[in-house]
Amino acid sequence: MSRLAALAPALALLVVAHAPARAQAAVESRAVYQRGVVGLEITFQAWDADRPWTKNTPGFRDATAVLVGDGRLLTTAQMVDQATFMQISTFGKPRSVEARILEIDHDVNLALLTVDQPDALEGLEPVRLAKGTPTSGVLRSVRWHGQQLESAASRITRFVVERSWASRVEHAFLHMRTDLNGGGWSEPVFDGDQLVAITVSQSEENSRSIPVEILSAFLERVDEPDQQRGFPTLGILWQVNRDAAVAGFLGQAGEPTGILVRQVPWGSSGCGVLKARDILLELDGEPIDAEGYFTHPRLGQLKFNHLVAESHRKGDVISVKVLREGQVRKLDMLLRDYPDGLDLIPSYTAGSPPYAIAGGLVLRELDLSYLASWGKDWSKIAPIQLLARYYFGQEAQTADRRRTIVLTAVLPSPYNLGYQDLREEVVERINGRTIGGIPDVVAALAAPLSGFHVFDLARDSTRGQVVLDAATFAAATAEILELYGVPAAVRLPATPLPPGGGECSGEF
Amino acid sequence: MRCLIVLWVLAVAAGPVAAAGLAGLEASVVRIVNFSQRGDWASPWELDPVAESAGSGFVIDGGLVMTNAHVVSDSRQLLIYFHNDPVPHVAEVVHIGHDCDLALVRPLDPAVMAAVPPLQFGGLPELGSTVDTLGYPAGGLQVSSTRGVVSRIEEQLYVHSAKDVHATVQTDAAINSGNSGGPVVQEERVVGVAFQANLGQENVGFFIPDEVIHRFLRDVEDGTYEGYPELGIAVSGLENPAPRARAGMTEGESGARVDRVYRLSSADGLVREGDIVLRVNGQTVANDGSVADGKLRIPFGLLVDRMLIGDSVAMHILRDGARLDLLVPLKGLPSMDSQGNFYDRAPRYFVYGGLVFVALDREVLKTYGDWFYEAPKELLHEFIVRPLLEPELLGQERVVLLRRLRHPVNSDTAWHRNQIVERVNGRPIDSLNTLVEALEQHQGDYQLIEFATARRFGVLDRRKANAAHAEILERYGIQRDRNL
Repeated sequence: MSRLAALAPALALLVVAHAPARAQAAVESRAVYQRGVVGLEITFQAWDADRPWTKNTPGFRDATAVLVGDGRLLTTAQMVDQATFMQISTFGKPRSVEARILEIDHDVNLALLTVDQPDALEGLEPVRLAKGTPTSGVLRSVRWHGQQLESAASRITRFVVERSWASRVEHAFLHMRTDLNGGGWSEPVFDGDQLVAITVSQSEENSRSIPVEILSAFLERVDEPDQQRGFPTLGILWQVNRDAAVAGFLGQAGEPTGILVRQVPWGSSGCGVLKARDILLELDGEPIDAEGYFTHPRLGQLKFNHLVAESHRKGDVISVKVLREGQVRKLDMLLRDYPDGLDLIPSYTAGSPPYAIAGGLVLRELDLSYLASWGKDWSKIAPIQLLARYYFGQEAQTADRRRTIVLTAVLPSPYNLGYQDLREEVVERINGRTIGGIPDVVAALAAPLSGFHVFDLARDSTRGQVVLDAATFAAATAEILELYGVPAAVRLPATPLPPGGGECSGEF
Repeated sequence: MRCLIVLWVLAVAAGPVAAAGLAGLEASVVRIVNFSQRGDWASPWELDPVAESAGSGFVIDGGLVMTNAHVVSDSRQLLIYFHNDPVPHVAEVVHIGHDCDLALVRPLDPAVMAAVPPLQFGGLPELGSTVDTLGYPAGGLQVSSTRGVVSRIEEQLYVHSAKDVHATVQTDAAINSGNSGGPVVQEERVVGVAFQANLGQENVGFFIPDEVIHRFLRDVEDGTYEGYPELGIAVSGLENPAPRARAGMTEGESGARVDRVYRLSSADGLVREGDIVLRVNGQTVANDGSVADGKLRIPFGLLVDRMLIGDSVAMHILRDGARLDLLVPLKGLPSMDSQGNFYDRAPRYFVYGGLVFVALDREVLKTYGDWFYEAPKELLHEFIVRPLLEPELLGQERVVLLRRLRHPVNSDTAWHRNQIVERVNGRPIDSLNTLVEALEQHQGDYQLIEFATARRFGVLDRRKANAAHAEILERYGIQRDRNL
């Protein structure tokens, strides 16, 4: 018998010996999934874009969450957005148990839910979070399908640093090629029995997930006081530095490296530290190349904003190295988040949009969801004056003008005769007062000008002014509210806007 | 018998024109064929292919043929065919008004017109009365006529320039392409020039009425067409009693509010934002901005429309509680030209370092098809929105970096297309000529080009760009680096 022949049975034994171990691990993982993965049935209602006092017809979505301890369920913010009612299902069986939001972070698109009946979670076990996301291999995407647990293979393809769902925070997303059909509804992704990601979107077989580095950072911060929460971002607008002529012009010798800073918004981390036309060479000691990449110890080449999101907190001070006017400078930068409050036209409004009905004039805060109400081609067909402000007017935010107020339509009545055709006009001033939000509208209407309410519209409007009689304003407004079934004349912003950057005016 | 048969045959041969009682008029109605060529605004150093189009016209006093401007625009060769005359007669444009879609042409050989009777003009036809359109619509080479009624008399946009609004008359007489420039007659007199139809609606055609035709003829009497005067104000209505009370208007007093005075216009410096216009040329302005005009009401701007550059319009206004009389001398507003279609001119451009710079105008936007929705946002913003928000931009020529002709001198860059150039080497750019100077006069190592949005900028190595200039033009087949 040859030596190979003698070896063969031994090898065969080895192979056979490992197979049960792997099968055993799979069975154990499956048990972890069954006990840790929970279904969500969500009823949601969007606010009507044109009548911001009403909610639209309820819609439904099924999503997934994972139990992460202390009776808390982790899912994405996007899934629970505008939720009117949420119910859970365990072991694939729907329970008549309501879930409610404990914590929601729109910067990283994550939410923590809880249920008020702890026995509803009986038989469940919290999952363990992995220390880090693997960089290659096959993971499992898990969800319930009726009472069947579905565990599909998902092969890691790459990491891409992108903006999160509704914010300017950027971090690495895990991209995979998955066997899961129609996913992207917050399915957890496991490596064996450990949680490594939560999937936020899927297009055909390509899925995109929030990696465990961000999940852990979010969970760590949930119990901290307010100022420690949230994810920082540089908040700058930049471009690649590939052009030898530009680099030469800015005084950079040799091969271009580092990225070109274009704009530094008011209130961002870079405000007061970075300037337009700086070349950002190093961030927190990490060199940045001409395309904006740095070398992550495990995940490889990533765009620089991930550095800030993963490894730092709001309030941290990090060092930056820039080339400015031909000189290399080392500077310290205080990290801030970039709350929607700093956008003149925010990409996301939590809850109901602030509005005011004044004598039949419907005034509301302009946000991205209002523009998106024009449909998938909104970027072409929405009114040009609103698009202009969204694309080119964002730098107009100042300390006393934080939002744009739009006269979206007029609820016709004899009181506002002559103005009933007005649509989508930006309001600049009311009764001489600059309007930067709904609270300004309320304050302005409390002080009419010599018996009249005077609305000065923006210079690109179809008319210059709306003038209404002040004495009959209140009675007319009440009649109009009655006639058109509007419950309240005013809805103020739910939360006050975060303060801006103080003294720093930004370079926009 | 033979005589009768001959007469009958002749009657049939003369066709519907004779039967409709328009006999004799057809001799004065001509067919005009235009071989035209326009510039290519997407590749501004090139010309489009030669196109052929046909329209109608009619002979008037003075040995001239009247037609639409759009029938004879961008002409390389113009041919006139007279009724029952097989000879094509080469013609030339004498006067052309793109702002009212009218033109006067004549055959190079004046003798040709000697025997052709000119048509005479009538006035404005009554609503509901019958009119006949004579011309050479598509589908045949013989003159034909159609009959209809006057459906509506109202101001409309003149599609040819796409920016001028004047009086028009709407009729249900069929007006098709080919009819353009032909006379609309009533009782053997010309009451209009057929010129546009509404493709979306059936039985809706338009003709240019007497008041526009005669303003045009008066304007060219001195040998040059000056064009329409522009008052230069935008007004809004005062239907609601509150603004009237606030302005101090008395019971029964009416008017319209001035919302905007255009820079460099006739009204600039005389009329102010916030003024209430009470009377124009003696006519009382209603709360919707209209004035009485015979049996109809027209926007008061149409009163100015009937005047010539150099005339003055009398305005009675209310300002800060005081009633004032103003006399506003009228001039044109050339800074608004770029808002309309261009004819008889080539695109303005300059190529440097492979970068193609053009003047921003409607023609550039039209290269994007359904441009209001499809054109790049930067261009729409600059063209439509910014001049309203920043009035000092009116009167400036905005310059666009349209595209980059790739070459090592400009490659490896983050150059952006369709960007508005704000400054070159620190110098603010208010025209293409300024951009050319800023680039050609610069002595530094680098040419710095700053764009209007997002603090974008680009840089060219000046010596390398200059050295490569001729080679880039050669390589891309561009004969001239500029048309200014």
